[in-house]
Amino acid sequence: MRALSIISNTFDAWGAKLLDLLFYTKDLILMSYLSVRAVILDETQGLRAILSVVSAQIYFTGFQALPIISVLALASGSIVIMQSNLQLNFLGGNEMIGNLLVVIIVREISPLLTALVVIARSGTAVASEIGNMRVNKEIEALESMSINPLSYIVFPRLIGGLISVMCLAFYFIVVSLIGGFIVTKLVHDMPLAFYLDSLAQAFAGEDVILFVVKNAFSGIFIFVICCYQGFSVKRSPHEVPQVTTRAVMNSILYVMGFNLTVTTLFYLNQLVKIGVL
Amino acid sequence: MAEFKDINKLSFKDLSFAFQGEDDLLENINYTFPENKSLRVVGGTGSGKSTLLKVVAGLLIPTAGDYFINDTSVGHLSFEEFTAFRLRIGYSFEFGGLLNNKTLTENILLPMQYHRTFHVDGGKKRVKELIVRAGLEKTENQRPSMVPGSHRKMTILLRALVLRPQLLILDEPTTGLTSEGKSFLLEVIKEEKKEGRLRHLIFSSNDDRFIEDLAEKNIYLRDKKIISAVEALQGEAV
Repeated sequence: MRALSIISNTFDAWGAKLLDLLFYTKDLILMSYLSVRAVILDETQGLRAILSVVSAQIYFTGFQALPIISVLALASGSIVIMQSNLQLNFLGGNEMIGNLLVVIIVREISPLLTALVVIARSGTAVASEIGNMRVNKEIEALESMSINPLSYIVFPRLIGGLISVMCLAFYFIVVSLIGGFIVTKLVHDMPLAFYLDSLAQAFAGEDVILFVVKNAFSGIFIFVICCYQGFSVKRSPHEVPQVTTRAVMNSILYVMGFNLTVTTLFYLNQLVKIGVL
Repeated sequence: MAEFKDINKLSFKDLSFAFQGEDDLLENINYTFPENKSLRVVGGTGSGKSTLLKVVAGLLIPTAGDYFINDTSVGHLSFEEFTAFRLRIGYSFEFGGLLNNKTLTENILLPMQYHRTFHVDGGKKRVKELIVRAGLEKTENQRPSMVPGSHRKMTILLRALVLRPQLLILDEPTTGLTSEGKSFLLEVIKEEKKEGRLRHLIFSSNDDRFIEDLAEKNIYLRDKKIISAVEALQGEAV
């Protein structure tokens, strides 16, 4: 009887957590939808003011993140190329290097590391900025001027975030594949033509789909989560660091969860294609 | 493009307001605001003066009852629908309310730059004129955190006045202002009233000069309700 009660309580707790997750996800989707709707419906709103916020967001999230993305891309590209080359030399399948790089860098590492850098740099900034705006009554002030915070604050961050993440992820791939090759060239002689040919043969249409799906999700969800947490501040400044931490944790969980789900589905689809499943 | 709507009549019908999970701050108020009058809201600390002003500005939606502008219930309007009225309303906060990542001039210009209903070039001229008259020329290109409190306060007031509102709501407008600042504010408000643009002024203040020059009628707030002047006097006698 006692065991039954423990099992039942455990399921209740899991169920409650799952419900919380579903409601939270619903709120995030609703916030994204309402921000787009606010931009479309507000007839008096000039687009110039919104575009200036979008461009500022792209500058802070995209442009200013280029140095750290360059370092990460160069390091991860070099590591993966060197290790792949070494292992493939032992196995005698050097022509497979392109496939390995596409699978590891383009499909997996680029979306994940780009998202983590954006969460660490810009997600925290957005959550704390909006939280402080709530405390300083800046949000109320916008409303008093008939400026909808959803269209003036949330929408530009979603669009700026989406564009920045897509561009940064693309930049990551280019730097890690080309820069990584150059670094590898210093320690190991690999013909450029062979390397490029191997890469060209490995790229497929599915890679573009995976790139767009994973990075678009990260771009939108990182910023909607951070905006949502920022807006959840009620009155006191002590809430700001709390919501910022929550924004980072939730962003990481959503990005990791989505990347894992997409990769799993993609993997299962490949198994179906080759007739294993 | 949305059209502006004139603000003529303001009234509360069975209006109550409470913050989520808290007790009522305003309870079951029925009141019609006199037209073309300057009203001063009077009440003790925590009596709900700021809340009442925010309800009148449409920043807080009643939790029960209705707030009517003309014959339109504000609580039933969407954000976009209320814009037609809101662009006729100027609201000044007691504390805070300036965007910290913008300069003082940008803060004052923001509503004009955001809403394409206004001509930004004409607006810039008016803003410059107000800034010079208010004595903010030296700090106009600095951000709020870099300037004295009196300049921040004046910037909030100028932003409330810049769109030439028909309904002006000022929450403790003289707090932190210099005596020159107070004189300038009185002057601008009187100009707006004289030219017939400002139809309703509702404010809370304990500044004698401001009260003497502007308050045409007092609204007394006690026990979450608006009470009559006679009731207020009886209360003071007790």
